[in-house]
Amino acid sequence: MDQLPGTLDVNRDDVAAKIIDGEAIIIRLSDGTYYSMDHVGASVWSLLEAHGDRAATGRTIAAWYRVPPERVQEDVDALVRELFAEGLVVAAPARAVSGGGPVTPSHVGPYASPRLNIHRDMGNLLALDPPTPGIDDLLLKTDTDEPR
Amino acid sequence: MSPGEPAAGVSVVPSAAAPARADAMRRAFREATQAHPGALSVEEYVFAGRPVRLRIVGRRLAERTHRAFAHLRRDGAPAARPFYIDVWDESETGGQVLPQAAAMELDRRWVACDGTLTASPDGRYVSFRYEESVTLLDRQEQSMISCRRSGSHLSTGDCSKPYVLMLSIWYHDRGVQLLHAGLVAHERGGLLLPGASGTGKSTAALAAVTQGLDFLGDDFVGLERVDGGAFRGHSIFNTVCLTRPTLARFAEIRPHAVEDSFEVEDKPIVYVSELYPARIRDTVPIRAVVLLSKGHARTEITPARRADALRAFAASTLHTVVPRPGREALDRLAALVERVPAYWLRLGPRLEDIGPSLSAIAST
Amino acid sequence: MRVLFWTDWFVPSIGGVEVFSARLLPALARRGHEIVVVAGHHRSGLPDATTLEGVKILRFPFHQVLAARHVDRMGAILEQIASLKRELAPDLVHLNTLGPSVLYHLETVRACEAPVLLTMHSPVMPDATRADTLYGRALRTATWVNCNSQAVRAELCRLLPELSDRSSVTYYGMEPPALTPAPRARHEPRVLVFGRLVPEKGFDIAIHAFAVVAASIPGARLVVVGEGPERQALERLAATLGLSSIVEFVGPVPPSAVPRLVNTVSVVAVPSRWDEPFGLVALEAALMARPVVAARVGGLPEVVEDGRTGLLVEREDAHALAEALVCLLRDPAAADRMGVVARARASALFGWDRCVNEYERLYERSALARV
Repeated sequence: MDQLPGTLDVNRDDVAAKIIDGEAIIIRLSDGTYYSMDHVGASVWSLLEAHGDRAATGRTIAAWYRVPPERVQEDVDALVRELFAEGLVVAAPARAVSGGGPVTPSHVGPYASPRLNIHRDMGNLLALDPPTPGIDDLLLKTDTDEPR
Repeated sequence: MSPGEPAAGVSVVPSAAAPARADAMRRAFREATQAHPGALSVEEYVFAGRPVRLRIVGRRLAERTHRAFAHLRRDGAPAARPFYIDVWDESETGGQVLPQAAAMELDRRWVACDGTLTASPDGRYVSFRYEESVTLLDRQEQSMISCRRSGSHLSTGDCSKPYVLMLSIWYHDRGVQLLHAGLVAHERGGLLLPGASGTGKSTAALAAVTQGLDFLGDDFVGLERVDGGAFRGHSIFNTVCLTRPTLARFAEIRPHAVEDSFEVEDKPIVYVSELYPARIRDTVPIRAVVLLSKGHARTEITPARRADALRAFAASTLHTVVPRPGREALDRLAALVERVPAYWLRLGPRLEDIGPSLSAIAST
Repeated sequence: MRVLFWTDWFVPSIGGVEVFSARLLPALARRGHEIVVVAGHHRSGLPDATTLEGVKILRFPFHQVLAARHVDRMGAILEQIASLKRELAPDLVHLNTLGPSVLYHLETVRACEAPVLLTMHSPVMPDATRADTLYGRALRTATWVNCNSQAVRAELCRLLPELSDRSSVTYYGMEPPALTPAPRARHEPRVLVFGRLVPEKGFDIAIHAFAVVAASIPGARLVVVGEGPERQALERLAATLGLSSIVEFVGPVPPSAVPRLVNTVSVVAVPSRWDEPFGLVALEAALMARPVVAARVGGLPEVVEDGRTGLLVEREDAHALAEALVCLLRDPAAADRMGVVARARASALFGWDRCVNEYERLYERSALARV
């Protein structure tokens, strides 16, 4: 693809994500692929979630980690390209930052180029474990007046 | 065999056969009661406010099963429309249903709890079978029929929480959610102790009852949301299941623990209503959630965040109760932690601190 | 040493890894090591935390949460694992699985910088070569990989040559059973197969083979021990071949009852159709002085010495299996000799103390090899 979009958003329809202890865990719900990123990647993710402005993200990361902005922007763009290719982020119109915006992370370790860890085998691995039945699988269709 | 019943060994049956399965089991139960009237026992109970009639053919099986529910026994005139639980022991009655249990399978099938759970497409009939037993639940008629290979061949789970899987479905249908939690009660209300046994829950529950609180459960209890948004806890089983090292800490209880499961890994069971008949209750309003943490220098109470309480429930109940509770259950638990306060009880080495700490939490 | 032992399955589940670790870990604990086991919740009603002979066991609903794709719940467990790692501060993390639960370990490595020893208890999957799989990521980031047979290590190094200088082989070990091997009953020639009743174990091949064996050897019996989803299909197969009175399905038995069972048969068969990485069953048979007829797959040729402690036959070949069984059942003297050699070899190569020593050395070396 020729031009990476200037603003993006996380693909809220198909993605569940959480940042724990500065690391990001992302699940692509449609097929159960699990992704993870360390603290720099997680910072990028939270900025994309907040405002999605690719250039502003690069500047903010450079400031947080005190690294030359050109190098950071290259890294951010490379990561965004991967996230985009995996369908985890999508192009979006520019938007205002919701709430107070992302806060400078409390534990900022040394800078390292962010990497997206991909685990495509999770779906298969989990399929090896038979799914436990859920009560929702046993929905009772009845017309008695007992509460359910 | 009547027309419409498949030959032995055939396991996939069309959905119309589900009622035939239930009839076949009911017929086998009736035959067992008629052939062995002396081995039949009938007791009335109340489970979460609903009448239950437990009929068992087989002396040994009856003795062990009734003991697990003894605290919920009800005297007086039998109820008009109880939930029927009918059970027979094939080693005593000479029945042949269990060897054909595979033929009892319904359309939809899962592997769970070392056994096979099946259900009819409309969800009305659910069956569960494993090596030692097959059980069928008719949710519309509120009738459960079960047969066991042998009443002398009961595991710790069979003795301490009989029929928990099927009961969890029946309770769910009545708006009572099964939780992996302990529940003890003070006069100010009930204290829920989420987490499966081993987190200090069984120890805490047993310590509480020896120190004057009331007992409702150490492993599985029922949670019901009542009018007005308050929560009520229900006792399901009368038992506490302990590891031997834990039991050793309760000198006065040790001699009364029952150890006679056939399993290699059997654990001693304590029947609480037999030891503390005045301190066992069937239901209580929930006053607080108490999260347990072991291995501290001294026993200490601190407030817990709602997120911690919800996480404690989620980590155990939502993933280790079978069938897995659904979205509704998570919402109910979220409402529970909004409604009642949560505390950490950090357990130190002294058992005698537990009762007073729990009372202190209840009195806050 | 403080070791965090990571596994999917643990007792009371019954399987090769469970049985092995349930003995290895207490043995290491007795030698003064502190071991904490992290395992999955695979059966309802198991405690979240318990102890086995001085070894602490903690269970987490790893798979259920991943399968439910609820990232918040995953976060909750990750926090618990991270805090466990910080509190325990292990010298070594010992992974015994490459299953989905490993993601919880990989995402909490920052909580403690301990080296990772990975033990392969199963054959290597092709995913090993892929960077975008959990399987591949876990293998690449391990400090040291040990395998339970040469066959597994050879395949691993073929797929990932970079592991050739950080991998090794440690065979399982077993103590000789307390029970003395009894002379086989010469009047009732019995063959035993045991294990989980799943297609990989190839028990259907044994039943097909037995149609021939029963015709050649009067009184021959096949004893099938174990439980699993294939049970009904195997029973139907025996019935279809007219072998219902000849094939006996015993059901599951606890591991402690196995020597007694082996004592009642003349030969043990391991007809696996998958690449059985080691074949603990074959070792148990050897310790009871019984020859083994096994498929030439995976690590079985390392446990069964063809012609000396048993016979090897080709995979999926019921006729070859039948011939080998008939050969041993017809010549009890030869079978006896093989049994004696099997027992001596098992004690020498697969002894228990040797195994514990090797694991202890492996732990010490891995813990020092901080990369």
